[in-house]
Amino acid sequence: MISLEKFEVIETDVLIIGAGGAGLRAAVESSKYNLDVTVVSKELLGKAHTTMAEGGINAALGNVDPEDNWKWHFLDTVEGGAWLNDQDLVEVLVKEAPDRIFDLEEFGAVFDRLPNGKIAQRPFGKARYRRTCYMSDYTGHEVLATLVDEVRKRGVNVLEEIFVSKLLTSNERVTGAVAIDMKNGDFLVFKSKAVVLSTGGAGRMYKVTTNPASATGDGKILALDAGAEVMDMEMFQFHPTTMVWPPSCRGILVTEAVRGEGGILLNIKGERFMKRYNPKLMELAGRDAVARANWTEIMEGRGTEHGGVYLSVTHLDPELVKTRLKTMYKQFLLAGIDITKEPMEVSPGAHYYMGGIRINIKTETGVKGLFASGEETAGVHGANRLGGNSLIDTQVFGKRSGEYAAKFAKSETFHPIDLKQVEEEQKRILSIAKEKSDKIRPVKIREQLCEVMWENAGIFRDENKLSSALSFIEKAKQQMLPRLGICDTTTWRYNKELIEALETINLIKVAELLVRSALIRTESRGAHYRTDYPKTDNKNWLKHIVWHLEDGVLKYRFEPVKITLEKPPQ
Amino acid sequence: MAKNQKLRVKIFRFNPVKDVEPHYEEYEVPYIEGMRVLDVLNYIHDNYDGSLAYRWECRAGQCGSCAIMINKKAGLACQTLVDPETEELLLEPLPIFPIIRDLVVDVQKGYKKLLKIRPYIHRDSAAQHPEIIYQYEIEDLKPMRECIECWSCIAMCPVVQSAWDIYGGPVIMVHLAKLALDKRNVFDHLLTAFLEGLYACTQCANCKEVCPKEIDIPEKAVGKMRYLAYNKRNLIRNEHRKIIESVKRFYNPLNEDNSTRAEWAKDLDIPVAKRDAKLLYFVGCMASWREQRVARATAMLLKLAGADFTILGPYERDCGSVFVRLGDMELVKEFALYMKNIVRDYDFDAIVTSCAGCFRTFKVDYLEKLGIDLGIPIYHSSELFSQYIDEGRLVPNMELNISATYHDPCHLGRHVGVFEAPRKIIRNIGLNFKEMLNERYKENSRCCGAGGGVRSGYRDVAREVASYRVENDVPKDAQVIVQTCPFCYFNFEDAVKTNNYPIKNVDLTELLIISVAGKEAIKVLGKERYDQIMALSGK
Repeated sequence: MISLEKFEVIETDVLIIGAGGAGLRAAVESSKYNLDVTVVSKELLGKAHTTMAEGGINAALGNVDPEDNWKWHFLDTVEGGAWLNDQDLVEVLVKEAPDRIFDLEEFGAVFDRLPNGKIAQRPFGKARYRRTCYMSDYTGHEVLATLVDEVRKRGVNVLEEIFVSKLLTSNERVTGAVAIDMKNGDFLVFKSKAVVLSTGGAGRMYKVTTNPASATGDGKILALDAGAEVMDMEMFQFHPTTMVWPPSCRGILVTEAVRGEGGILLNIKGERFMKRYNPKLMELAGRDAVARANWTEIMEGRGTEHGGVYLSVTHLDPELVKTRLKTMYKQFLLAGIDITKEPMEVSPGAHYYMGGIRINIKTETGVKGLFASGEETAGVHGANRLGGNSLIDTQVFGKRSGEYAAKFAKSETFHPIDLKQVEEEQKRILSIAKEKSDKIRPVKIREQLCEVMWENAGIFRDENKLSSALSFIEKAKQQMLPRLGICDTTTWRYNKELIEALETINLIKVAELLVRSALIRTESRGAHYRTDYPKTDNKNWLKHIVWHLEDGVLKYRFEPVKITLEKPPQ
Repeated sequence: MAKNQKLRVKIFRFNPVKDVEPHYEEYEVPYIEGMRVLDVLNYIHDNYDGSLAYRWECRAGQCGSCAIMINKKAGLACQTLVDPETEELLLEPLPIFPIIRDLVVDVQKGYKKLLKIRPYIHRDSAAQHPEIIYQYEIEDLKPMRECIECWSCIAMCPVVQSAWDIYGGPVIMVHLAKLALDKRNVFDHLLTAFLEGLYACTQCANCKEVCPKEIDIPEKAVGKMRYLAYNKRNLIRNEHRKIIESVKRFYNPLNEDNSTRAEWAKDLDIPVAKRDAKLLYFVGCMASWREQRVARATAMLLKLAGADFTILGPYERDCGSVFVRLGDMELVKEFALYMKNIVRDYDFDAIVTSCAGCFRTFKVDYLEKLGIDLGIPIYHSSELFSQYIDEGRLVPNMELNISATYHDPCHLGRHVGVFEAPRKIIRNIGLNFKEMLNERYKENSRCCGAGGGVRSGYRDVAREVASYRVENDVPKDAQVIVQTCPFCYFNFEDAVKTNNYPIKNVDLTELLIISVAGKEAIKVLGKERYDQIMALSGK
């Protein structure tokens, strides 16, 4: 039996796991309650996935279209989400959005302006009115850098390169976490009164993804393991436009803002094919629709040799392109393409997880003391997310998770750590880290998973493909994961592969939830498209597939969609 | 490179837990079209060695996680294309920071320096929403906000390398500028900048060269803040005040009587203020009073080449470079207009100058900062002499068998792109030439430490920076460092003398005059110097 002296125990009132837009916003909010707040992050501060967001952040400020208000933002969001959104969450999102934008400004954020000095707003996919605030095409960086400033200002404790591998619980409440400090390989045990999970998405289970290395779905597995629920796991958004060539660029995001500024999609015949799929909204139709359109063009042989379609801004003012789409201009230039003169080659890529941890409007998860926010969670975006809604989600619910976690912590005491849980977790990690002759390296498992998921659980799904994916996942769980092993079994200091191994386990588990949910949902809705069930069935399927663990076994149930303001069409 | 060709990759490996010392490991990686350094690292990790420690996240140049030294130059691994023709790809961790493992460094010290300057907005009251801010008000601070804290600039900065305790570094200046230029911010970040080494930056632009966001740190952060500090707040180093006074009164920064400017030419029969001359030889303050051999050699070479030139003598005034660096554009304008009038009055066809600083000021700064175009070609002496050699107007008769390296001055090289002309001359006079080590030549040249007002404002720092260059970049068997800027020369001399380094500094024109004129050069250089150089040559 290990004693607690063998590893460092860090006590903190609020533990925030994840230092992206949601995690840092939560930290800022929690720090207002005179508590000990600790943020732990897998990567260095300021380098979370949020920094890659480009297009913008939505709020019904009405600066460009005065007719816009939260009700329209609400309608756009639930329509965009194919009515799977929990409307109480959406109400909160759209009502509190303007205040969160003002918060960011208060913290020092700078947005591009209108001639009258107000924040500029641009059109974005499936939005009736122009409500996407932006900073050129690197809004995510601006938001995250601003939050980093504020976190530094408030002196919040941020621990970098920490991998949380398990949440500790006691009597259905969370008591802390077990983690590895990547820098020196030490075990850490956190003792905290409240925990906020904001670890983002899981794009790294797909071969083509916009997501960075860290997007491995850790938080969802931590939550499930602790007794929380996850839902809408089949809902994974494929961004319609990601880079295709050269191979090293595959999956790099080509922001929706390109289409927002007037970019058009063309197949190799030079046809502006969106008129066949959505003549009204054309390139600014919802991401799911455009992704399916692009993919269909490619699959039906009207795509480029490298497997993409064309996105062109050659008809736009080159100076506008170079300033408003600066990031795009530079990233294509490095790949040898001047986008003011040539079209971009793009194809869909796995981008955003609408599914995740189930929360209520207070970001509570059902496990006492455990909160969650950001891409980590489900319900806000339903079956498909609008561009610009993710950043504002991080701010609205990030703030709420920080607020409610802090309020909870203020009224609570520390609970003792269950040493047995710590010991079990240590044993689990040690068994992966030890030398084995028949080891399978994480990269080998991931390569296969990514291929299988992309082929079988991607944009177009059917029973056969999904079942095939599921059998691979079962095989991986039974035969491959037990043999999971790493090259360096002697030094834990910055042993990246050990962390990769733990992440791989999370990816397999998240993939399983995705595939199982996709098999269960025998209809098409939003980003989830079944070629064998192409219709949307509002009569029977306005419900979530909710999972939890019961004695280590996955069990699901249905939960009806929360409808408060707008009734879905029949 | 054919698709199945292999790259040779050499990577720094160090596991502090087990290794006493670092070592390098070599790998062969198949090249794929469009390959970047990060792909190379991933390939090695996936196929050869899972213990290789390196950072990466977004792979799209947006997070700054993957900054390492690639062939001795800091950069993001994910944004650096692999040149298939490259002989060897050398990958090392960023210098300055302690190493955690292999290519992963501990950046805590950098954070400490950053946090020290309070890199966040301070408001004295809650903002009124909607906050009215105009686009033009944010244009200057927008580039500063693009910083992704990759630490590439810190890795390359010559002043940080030698004096991080005095100068926080480029990234610190970027964050200070981000706030000093923000009208909503009430904290005095400008004063903070002054106290954190605003005038300790040589403006060498090595940081700008490697910044993945292409932030123009020397001009838009340091330069802009210097402008505000000096003009609006009178914040400047005392040493600089003395120089400014000197230039205002005597038209030179050295407190010399300007009428003695051409004293060095007394015995040489050089035209002074000749009205119908076609070419102006603008000597510059350093060569006129401190490194007179440079002026004498240059003048003699022009004469030997039959150039129809003149110097201005007592009519020559400071080029204004000092004020460009210190941000006093009003004064620069005075000097620029003076030069414009001179050019017009004398009807010169071209200007040649000995000093890289004057060269850059005439060619770049007058135009970019003031819109004043002198209207005629500006040459550095190395460019002109290289041309004369081509044209046969100067004939390098003697091969000087001296082991030499060459220091690319920032103002001549990285800022304007003159790399080949001095090297051509070096080849023609038969020097045994080796480039600076650590790839620190041409665009990657390491600053001597004198520029940007550092020589006067922080003398010790300037000397330290030059000392570091001598100790680390100069090839061990070099007898001389060839110089083409009297200011660099002056600073290197200080370093050499203070530390008793065995190396000698020689201006390119000193070597050229000997090669062209042989013993005649004694008249220009003096016997002692002539003998000294010839001794190196083994003659």
